[in-house]
Amino acid sequence: MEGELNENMLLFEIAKRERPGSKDYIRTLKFLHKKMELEKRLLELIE
Amino acid sequence: MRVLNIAGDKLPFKGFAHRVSSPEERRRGKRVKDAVRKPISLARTMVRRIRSPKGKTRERVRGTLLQTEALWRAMHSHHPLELPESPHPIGTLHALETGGFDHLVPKKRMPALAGLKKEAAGLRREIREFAESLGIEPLLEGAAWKGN
Repeated sequence: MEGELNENMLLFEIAKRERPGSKDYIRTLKFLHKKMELEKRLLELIE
Repeated sequence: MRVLNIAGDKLPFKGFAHRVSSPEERRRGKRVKDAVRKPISLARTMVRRIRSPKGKTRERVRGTLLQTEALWRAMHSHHPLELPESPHPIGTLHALETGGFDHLVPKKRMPALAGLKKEAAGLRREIREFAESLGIEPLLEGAAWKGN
């Protein structure tokens, strides 16, 4: 398990490498946004 | 009035020891002693609810959401990137996929959870493929989510 990454760490690694405004940077942002929405819905469901 | 004190916790209610059985209960043969015992068992249930281990999982999800939001905000505003500490090494998408939240969702809300699970699996696959295309290590695999 050690050395492997969860989704947030993975997206963080990508964000560090990419230049702000680049295609992959924007794609990372979109993934983060989707993940945020999903987590909010999950919280609503379990609370 | 007496405050019930079970397992060292002062409970947020008082006076249950004064409760007696109702005339109807007494007609059915219930003694006053039984009626007094009942609220104490209720108090124990409340202690269990306060200490529910399910709260831990919820806290982790809240923590992960905060982490995701912080990263999104920093990226969005082009601030220097920092990743706040993770509340759990396994991400919420993986946990959703492997049934890590099943014990928290009431039965009638299960269809909604099934939809979320599918979305989580799809999103996770997309993120993994994207990362791999950029030459970054794959996501955690094989580790099961331990809810509590």
